[in-house]
Amino acid sequence: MTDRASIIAVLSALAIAAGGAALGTAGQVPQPAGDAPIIIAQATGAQATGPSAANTFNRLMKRPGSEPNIQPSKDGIHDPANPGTALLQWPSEAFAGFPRTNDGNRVDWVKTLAAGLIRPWTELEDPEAEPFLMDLTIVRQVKGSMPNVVYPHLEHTQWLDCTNCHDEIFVPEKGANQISMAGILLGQKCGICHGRVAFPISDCRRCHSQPKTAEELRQLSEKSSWAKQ
Amino acid sequence: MSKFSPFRSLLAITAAALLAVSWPAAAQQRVPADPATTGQKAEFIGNLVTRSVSVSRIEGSGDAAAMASLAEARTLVDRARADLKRGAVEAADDKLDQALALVNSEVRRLSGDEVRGAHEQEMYHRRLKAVNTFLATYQRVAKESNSRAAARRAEAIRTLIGKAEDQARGGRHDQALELLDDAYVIARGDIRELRQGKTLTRTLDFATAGEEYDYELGRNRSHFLLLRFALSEKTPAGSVVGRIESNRKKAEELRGAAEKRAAADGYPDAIDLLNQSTDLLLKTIRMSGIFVPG
Repeated sequence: MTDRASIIAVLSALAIAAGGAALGTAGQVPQPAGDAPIIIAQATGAQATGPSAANTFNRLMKRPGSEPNIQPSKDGIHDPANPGTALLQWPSEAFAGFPRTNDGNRVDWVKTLAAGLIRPWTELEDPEAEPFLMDLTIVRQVKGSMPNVVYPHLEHTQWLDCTNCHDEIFVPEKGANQISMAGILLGQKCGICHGRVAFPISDCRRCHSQPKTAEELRQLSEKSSWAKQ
Repeated sequence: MSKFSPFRSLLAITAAALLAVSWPAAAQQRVPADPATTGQKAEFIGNLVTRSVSVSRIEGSGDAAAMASLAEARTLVDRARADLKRGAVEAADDKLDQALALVNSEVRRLSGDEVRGAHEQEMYHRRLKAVNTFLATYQRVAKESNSRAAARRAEAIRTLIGKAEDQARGGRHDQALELLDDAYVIARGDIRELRQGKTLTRTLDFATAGEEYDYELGRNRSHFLLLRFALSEKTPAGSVVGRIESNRKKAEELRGAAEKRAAADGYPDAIDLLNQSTDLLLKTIRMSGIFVPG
């Protein structure tokens, strides 16, 4: 596959994923309070009328009853009656040979990029523009025995510009961001992308990846010593 | 993959290119003019150049070029009517098309400027906020790093921001944006220089027991939500479901007790109770079949 074909494939995939999320999230943010069942998968108007689950909002990026990367004429997005639809490349063909994962469109995009199988453009009007890479890792300590969260800027800046996140989503300052799993599940902070167009939160270890040492556990326990006074 | 044909992409691109090439030719094919339809067309375009929304937009813009085009379009319509009277239908039709094109192109241009202007203004404000944030970050990081050059660099960024603000005050948001972009590129580059290759650890530090209680309460709520999420994802065996529900109720009771203690300023006890509740929820999430490390 050529670079250009790869770019088209990636842009299509991301557009489809992002479009699905955008359709589904409007006015449908579930609330954590009360005993009402949590809405993890929420049908959009498209699904409610029956033809396809392609635009289903799904925090886990799974599409019940729908194969991933099906042909455009059956994805519920393209018009099957339009002869041009039959000419479109199938996502499964475009993604053939890419490193796989179990989520979303089944492609591990970070590994795919690292392997040089795709070369997304950083700027629309300059194919030679290079991304602004930042090799800064943030480790967020969490309570209990749960491993700490490791946030690598490097992998994120391969896809995003600094201003995509700063400072509308994250204030670049220690202690300025309140992040909770509840918020992420409800589509805030990391959840703005993760579970929509980036890997979902169903595998804790992808973010909680730095195990605590015995010394760290002891220190954490001492820090909240007033709880036992 | 077996279904993949390298020619399919080529075919799609060729088809699209053919469509693009053939479209203008198709659009240019003229319907033969006849007196009745051209007379009706003259009436419609006469309205367009005298009392339409397009006219209001052009006249309201005060744009000299647009006003001149409108005047020219009106002349063309008058001449087209004269052509029609003497039976020169094709000539009338041509002039009406020219009048229509003149008005439409001016309205498009004026609307485009308006839309572009609004977009640039919005982009300016967003970028200004981002650049100020990056400047503050740079100054903080430079202070941490004892960087001597930082003060000069920060001043250069501030100067660019000032110039951008001047341009914006004069309504030149496009030029203001260019200056802000320069400031942004300097700021992010300098931050990278000071931070590259580093790992920063955000430790958990609580100034007061009340602060730790708030953190624990958030963590506890997250675990309740995660349990609901786990149950929607997994289908635990019937024998486990009862225990899960019992644990959830017990965790809720513990949280309720913690909230009562906190209301009476008994934060240390409240933290302990919340920890018990969260630990129980964690155990229950694992019972549902989700792997939780730690």
